[in-house]
Amino acid sequence: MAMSALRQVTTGLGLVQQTPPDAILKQRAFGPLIRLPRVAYFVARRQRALVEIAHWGYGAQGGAAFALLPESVLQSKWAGTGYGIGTWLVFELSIAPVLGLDQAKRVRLVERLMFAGDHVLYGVILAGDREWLMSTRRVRSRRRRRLVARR
Amino acid sequence: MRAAELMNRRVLTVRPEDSMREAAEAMDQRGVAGAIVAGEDGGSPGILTARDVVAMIGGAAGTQVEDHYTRDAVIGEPGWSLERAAEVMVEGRFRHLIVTEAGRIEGVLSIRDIVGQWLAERAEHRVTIQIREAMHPDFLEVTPETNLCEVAEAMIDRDVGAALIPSTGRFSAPGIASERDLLRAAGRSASFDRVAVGDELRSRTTYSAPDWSLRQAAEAMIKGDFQHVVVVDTDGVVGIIAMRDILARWLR
Repeated sequence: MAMSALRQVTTGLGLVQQTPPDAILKQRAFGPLIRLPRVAYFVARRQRALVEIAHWGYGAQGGAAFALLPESVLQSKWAGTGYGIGTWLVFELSIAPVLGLDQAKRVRLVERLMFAGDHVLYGVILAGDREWLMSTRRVRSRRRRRLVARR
Repeated sequence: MRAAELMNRRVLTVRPEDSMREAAEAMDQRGVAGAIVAGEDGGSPGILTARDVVAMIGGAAGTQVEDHYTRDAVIGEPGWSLERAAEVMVEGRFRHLIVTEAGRIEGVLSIRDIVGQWLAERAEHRVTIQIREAMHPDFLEVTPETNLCEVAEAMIDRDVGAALIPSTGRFSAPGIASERDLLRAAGRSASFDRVAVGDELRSRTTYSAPDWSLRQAAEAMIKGDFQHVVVVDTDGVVGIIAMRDILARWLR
């Protein structure tokens, strides 16, 4: 949510022209839709909602993948930052050039900085969430142990 | 690239004394929207296009090719650059350029040929131009019950190559009646005032949002073999974009 809010601000200020899911839809999705005009009609009319769903879905998958990383990696204080930068690099170095998006061809320093920034925020919050979850679990298990000891 | 390298050398030729019905049938079967009319006594060639067929359906007098074709067609040369050919076609508002050399017909170059070529050779070019910058927000709309004569007349009056048929239900998509539909109908029937356009809809189209890339619309038209894309947003149809609009915007 924080990442989406930051993305809204950077897009609203004109620092980012198209977000990654937006760019994929507007620059590349049309081809596969040619043979499916009804789907194209639906997507064109509901694109704002679909872009948000795609972005949140990508974020949720990224979060699930983060939880699967080895414990040794997760315990590093740079785990969140590194993961955020990693997810941004996946777009910059593989998705954008493979799909031939305009984003891979232009020199766009400010936009890249904004993308890197909001992905780092995403990673940091993921790591923070995980830490909070783990500490909550630790507190609960400590309480449980104390209760058991009293009995 | 020069016109000679891209033009279609297998041209469809019709005679001035042929009936419009025969000519329309031949054009429909070959899947082309233009046919060369051989000049009388070796004179300059003319051209019969789908637009002329639409004008005939709309009530223009005469049932033979000689009553409708363009006699003073613009003629290009094999050595013309694609840019020059495109400019001439966009300025003259026509889609087919006859290419001759020393008075002999060498081929026909169409807007579709140029758009397809520029898509292939300029892969990274002009990808940021949006459809809204080239589309026509003022489009022709007809009901499925409108007869072919009225549709053709309206298309000629408004100088458009397609009419929108609004969607009938909440989940159905709008359709499009194009010059090709009328061309096909002209090859089969003569009583156009008794045929509803809704019964003749065969044109394929697709839909896009106004902020999608113009390049994508061009790709859709080339791959899907159609001339128009319907532009929609959350409120419904906001415009129609034709292949000529794309070429005109690219030339700017």
